Amino acid sequence: MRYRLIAVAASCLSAVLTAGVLRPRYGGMLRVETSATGEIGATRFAGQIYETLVRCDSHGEMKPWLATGWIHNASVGKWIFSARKNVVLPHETLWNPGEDTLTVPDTKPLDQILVEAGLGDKVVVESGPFRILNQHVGESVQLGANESYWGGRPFLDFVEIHMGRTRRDQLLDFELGKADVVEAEITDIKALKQANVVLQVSKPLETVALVFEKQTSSLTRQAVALSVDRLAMQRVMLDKQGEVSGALLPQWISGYAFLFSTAHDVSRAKALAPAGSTLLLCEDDRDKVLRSLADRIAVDVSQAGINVRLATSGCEARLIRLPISSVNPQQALLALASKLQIAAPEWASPYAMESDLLRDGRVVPLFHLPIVYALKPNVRNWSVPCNLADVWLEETR
Amino acid sequence: MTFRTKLLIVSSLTVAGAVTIVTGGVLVAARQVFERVDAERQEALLEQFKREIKTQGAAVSAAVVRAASSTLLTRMAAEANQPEPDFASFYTDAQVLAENTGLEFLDITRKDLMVLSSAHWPVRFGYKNDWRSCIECKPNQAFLTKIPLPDGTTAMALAAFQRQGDLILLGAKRLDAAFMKALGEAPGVRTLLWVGPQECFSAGGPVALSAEFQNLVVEALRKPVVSRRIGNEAYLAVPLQQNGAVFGVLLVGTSLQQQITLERSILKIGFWVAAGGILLGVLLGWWATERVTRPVNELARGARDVAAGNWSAKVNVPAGDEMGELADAFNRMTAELVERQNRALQAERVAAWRELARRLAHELKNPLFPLQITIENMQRARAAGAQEFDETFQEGARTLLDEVRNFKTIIGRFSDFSRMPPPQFERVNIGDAISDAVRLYEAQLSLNDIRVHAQVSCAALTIDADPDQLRRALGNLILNAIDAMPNGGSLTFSVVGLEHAVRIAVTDTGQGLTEEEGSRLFTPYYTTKQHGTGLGLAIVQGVVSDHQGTIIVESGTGRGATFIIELPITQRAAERP
Repeated sequence: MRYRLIAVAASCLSAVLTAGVLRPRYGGMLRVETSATGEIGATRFAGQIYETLVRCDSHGEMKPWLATGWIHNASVGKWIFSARKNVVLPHETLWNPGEDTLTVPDTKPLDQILVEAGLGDKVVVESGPFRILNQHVGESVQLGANESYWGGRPFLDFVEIHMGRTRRDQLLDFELGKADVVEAEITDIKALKQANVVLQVSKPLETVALVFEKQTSSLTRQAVALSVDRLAMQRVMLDKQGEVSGALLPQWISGYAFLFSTAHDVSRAKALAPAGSTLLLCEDDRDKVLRSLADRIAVDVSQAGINVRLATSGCEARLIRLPISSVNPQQALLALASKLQIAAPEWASPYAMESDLLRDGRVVPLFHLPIVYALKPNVRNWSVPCNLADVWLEETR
Repeated sequence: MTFRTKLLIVSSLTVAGAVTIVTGGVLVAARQVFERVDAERQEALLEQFKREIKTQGAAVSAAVVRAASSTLLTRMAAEANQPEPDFASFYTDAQVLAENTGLEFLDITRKDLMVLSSAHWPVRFGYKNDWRSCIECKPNQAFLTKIPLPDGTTAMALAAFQRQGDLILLGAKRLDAAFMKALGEAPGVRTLLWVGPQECFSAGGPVALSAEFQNLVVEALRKPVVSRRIGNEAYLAVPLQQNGAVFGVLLVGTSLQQQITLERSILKIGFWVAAGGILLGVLLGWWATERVTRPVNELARGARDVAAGNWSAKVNVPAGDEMGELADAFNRMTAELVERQNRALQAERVAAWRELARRLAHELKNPLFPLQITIENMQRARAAGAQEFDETFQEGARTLLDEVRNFKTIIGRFSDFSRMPPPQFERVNIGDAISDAVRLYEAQLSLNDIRVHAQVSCAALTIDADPDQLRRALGNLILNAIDAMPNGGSLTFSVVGLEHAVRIAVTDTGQGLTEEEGSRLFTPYYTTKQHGTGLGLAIVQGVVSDHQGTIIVESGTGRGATFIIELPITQRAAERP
């Protein structure tokens, strides 16, 4: 009996303590570092400031966001979106879009209209859960909580985002306590885990690809694609993280990535490679993983008789990371086309659109990599894709 | 070239040659000494290089052994034996081991040499190790090799390998500037290590080789040892080989600066010694030649005087040597010549007096006979009566006067010859002079049926001459021609202008002269005629001679005679040598 009482008391105490720890807390400033550069609107944090009529959910479905719904008016041949009522803009004015903003001709399929609306081609409103308080473009942005956010005030008071930081510097700042959330290399996962660092590893949300300049010969592109041993790189250099792929979109988003070849055939590459051909390959020398991958690609491609020289300018090919900005395949493909500055494919099925993008061999996808964040233990509810509005900081004891 | 000049040249050449030979000999000896010393220094450095290779090789081998016995490699060997080994775990192992053991290059491979982990080229995993010649070597034995690098170049290195289970561990240290620095360099010695066309270094760091060095290296890659001088350094190129493969070339250079400085000093000293010797030789030669050539020059001057007609010339050379004897002989010779000349002149003078006496007697005897006859006739007429005497007296007086006149003429001719005055020069037209002379004897020429022809190439030709003497000379030649052509003929004057003279030829068509007559023709008082004085042509020769001219006769029996006179156009021209 006495033991039962003790057990009940312990359970109650535990429940009380747990409830106290896990309850979200308002306030605090989150310090985030990222390697992304440029305007904040072009990074993964754009959605925390800017909003569109619709937004893609975690299953790739386009869901109402600033628009609460849409109906088709067959008499006028338009789709009409209904605007959310309580959207507050900076300077505390209410969002009051005109008719033009909310009507779209029905000349395109609804899926395409929704995807394009989600890309923010037509309507982008600065009405997100955070507002820009201070910005040094490419260096840092200070965000403050939008007290009037239609979805409710975010937990954090402030978010400070430092941009253009190499992952090595980010890790250093993290260890020195200068940052709460930093990006980590996938090759550091093992070491960070051993150091008991809290890690958030996403599904593959980044594509590593070789992008050729227009003037490179088609045979060279093919020879390079065939000579690269993706599997060896993924197993050894990427520590089995990510996925080997010949597709732009990862398997978990598209479901057809395995259809694109990742064949490694040096003898065929040798046969295709023009005699005495050379390739000037550029890599981001600030990115350790890309740099080592480029070194390995140079070794692999040289087996096909192509002399690869690594450089930082005058490139004939570049090894780059392509962020997957949406889990909607078509929206992600359109965003990639825009990022690669190549013609957007005709609206079709995702496979057809991707095949169209990869047809000329200018883009050779190699891997799909997850995004890894190292978090301070007090950072709660961090998710990828990030949603800063749900993040809160546990009070440190 | 004078004897003095020759002697000076010979003495200078002798001195210069001797100094050159001595200087050359000293230079060659000095060079040989330096070359021997350089060769010894190079040899010592090569030995040091080999020792350093051994030392460094032992260090590399020890480091590889340390790495092979490390826990990390043991773990790798165990992992590699798993059915599905985690290759990712090997990725940085070689780098860790290399850092721990101080090896610059480290490859961990399987038995088949497939790289599992590489320290210097991590991304090369999965490919075969291609360090040259490593397989032929034994464990714990360092070897030279060339290691490919990510930038496409190669590095020459000292390597060693060890086996650990199923793994092979290959470690190496680069032979670079640091190695060369460890080698150390003596003053004046420079060591270069050539590894590849774009890679060469010394103790100071990378070195860009000039074309001369490149050629030396190319040659060294084919031969065991090559030595060559490049700039102010002598280089020995030794290929570095391992199992027959050449991995690089060691270039050991020694500075030739000291040798060059010494050679320059020797040359400078040689030059000054030669210059001093030549100067001394010149002075001594001058003195010697002065002693030798002064009596010779004296003799030469005496000989020139003799040649000029001064037979009494004497040379004044101190007796006592061969030159003195020669001078004495010369003086005796000239004295004898003078004596003989005097005797000849005396004989000639006697002969001339005899000839003069004979001629005078002959000339005077002819008129004496009529005088004697006339006087005897006048005596006989006186004896016969006054009337006959009167008749005879008149005729006899006339004859006497004629003969007295004849005497006067004869005496006048002799007087003229003896009183030949010096010529009074003035510009004389040669054509006019001939015309005047011919005009004087025109009647006699006509009387003797002699035709006169004149061929004057330049009528306006004038010369410096005494017109009276010239006319007299030409007149004598005309008279001589009249006498030579008693039965008539032709007399031709031809005048030709030469560069500095004028040639006058007087040609008759008489019976000509014999050789003996021709040779004596201009001798005074010599004549081939019955009534001649033998002074006509002597006077002609005298006039021509006074005008600095020449006269010759060309003749033969029955071919007539041609007197050729050459007179200078101006007397200044005649004075020219």
